[in-house]
Amino acid sequence: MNSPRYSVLKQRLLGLLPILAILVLWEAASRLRLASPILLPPFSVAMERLVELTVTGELPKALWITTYRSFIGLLVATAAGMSVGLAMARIRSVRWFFSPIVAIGFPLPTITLLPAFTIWFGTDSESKIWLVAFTCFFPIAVSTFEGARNMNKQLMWSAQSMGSHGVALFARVILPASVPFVFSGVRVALPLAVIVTFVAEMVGGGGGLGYLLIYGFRFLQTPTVLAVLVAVLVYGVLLDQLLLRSRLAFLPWDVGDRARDG
Amino acid sequence: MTVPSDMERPTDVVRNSVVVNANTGQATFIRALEYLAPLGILATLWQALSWLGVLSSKIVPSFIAVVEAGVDLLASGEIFRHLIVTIYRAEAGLLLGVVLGVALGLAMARLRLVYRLSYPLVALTYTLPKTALIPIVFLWLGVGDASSIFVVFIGAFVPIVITTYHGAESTPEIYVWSAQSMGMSSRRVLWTIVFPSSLPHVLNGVRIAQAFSIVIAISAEMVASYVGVGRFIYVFGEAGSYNYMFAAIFIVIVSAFALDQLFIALKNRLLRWTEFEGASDE
Repeated sequence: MNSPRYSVLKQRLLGLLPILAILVLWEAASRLRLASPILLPPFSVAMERLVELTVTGELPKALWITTYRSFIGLLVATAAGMSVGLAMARIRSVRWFFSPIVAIGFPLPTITLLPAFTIWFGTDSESKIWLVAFTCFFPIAVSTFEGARNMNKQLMWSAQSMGSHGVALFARVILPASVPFVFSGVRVALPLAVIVTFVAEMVGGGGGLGYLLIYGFRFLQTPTVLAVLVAVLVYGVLLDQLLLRSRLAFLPWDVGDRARDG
Repeated sequence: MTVPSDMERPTDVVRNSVVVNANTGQATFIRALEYLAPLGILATLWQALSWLGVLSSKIVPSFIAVVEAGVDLLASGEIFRHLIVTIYRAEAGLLLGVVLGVALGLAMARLRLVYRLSYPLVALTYTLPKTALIPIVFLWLGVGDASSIFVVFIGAFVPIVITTYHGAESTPEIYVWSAQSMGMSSRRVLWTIVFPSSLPHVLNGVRIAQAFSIVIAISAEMVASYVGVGRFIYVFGEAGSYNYMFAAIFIVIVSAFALDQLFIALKNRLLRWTEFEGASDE
């Protein structure tokens, strides 16, 4: 019974054990009144609430709002970050201008700007989108700049020696060579986008998953909080997978991350 | 899944290439001035737009008004009380996360059973946006230091487990083999070979974690808190004292930047013995 497939299966099951143990302990602690059912309702109750929230459409709607905000923000940040990163790599004055801005912006806790963005853009989606865009701009710009700066110079030289210049050189050599780095930047930025959207929704309202969570907290609806949290957990995994898959689809020639992922 | 470990290289490079290679004091000063000039241009532009009335002072206070408010905040010293609380929460959670995260990461790299048991759980929580935990932790631990530190801890712990694991995994096997062939116990192999060789990865991970720790601590304070800079900034915003709000934001940004610089200095000191120069992580 020691066929490779069997042992792979065994390993997988071993990994599920702690997760199952947590769920069983959670259910038991609550059912046996070891923990206050108000603060820790049983897992099954949270799941019932999850189904209920899904059926009433509250959860799908919140999920959509949060996704919409973080994705549009991320899209804006990718467009801006990529342009600035590439321009920084190619044009000296742009590099001079953006160097200190990017160096300061990178470790910047942009979430502190939330009240300012709320004043400027209101409590609805717009303020969240701009804050996400502002936050995600820095890692993407930095990563693109790095990539375009450290790209394999031989690629560029051979293209130049064969007569590629200007736009063609940029579009056919520099841009494709830096796309993997744009993706690395987006990989860093994606969790940031979701984190920022969540906090903005918790603090500023205007619907979305963060609002749903904080609503549950304020009205002591612990099952709602836990149900949304479970949904967020699944959501996070799906987003990460989506990014990995889209990387493979866009960059079939680049195996960098895949090789490391094993 | 991987931790985007190439994340922290760029700023170092940006910074190193522009500031750090000057030889004389005067040259350093001129270079620093040249480096920081764009920020001066932005500030001037901001002030000019305020004077011209393009930026309404109700929505964006002028640069000078913000500087004045900042001087006021620093002179009265009230912001420090809040800043200290926030930094304490962020760093305490980070420290807990580093100690336990490095321990689990090393254990995962050396013991297959630990790896098999914990990897799925770690992978599952890695992608969780950690700020989503704020409400439930507030319910369990109440609003205050304990809940903030706990969320920061989770936010630091999970990524550090993964960077440590990847760092320890990438230890060249040949070092381990030669140590073993010379009769080194597996505990000594761990502490004298695997841990030092994973250190550059770990410290890169900690730097990212520190940035996230500050964000999480401030976020938790904005959601609900009695003290802390998150709360401090938010109150100014609600009261409409935007010049003070912006001043407080800038003070927090400078503090976060200083903490990052402090960590880079610490990292370079801890890694003096390696070929690692802050800019590369191979």
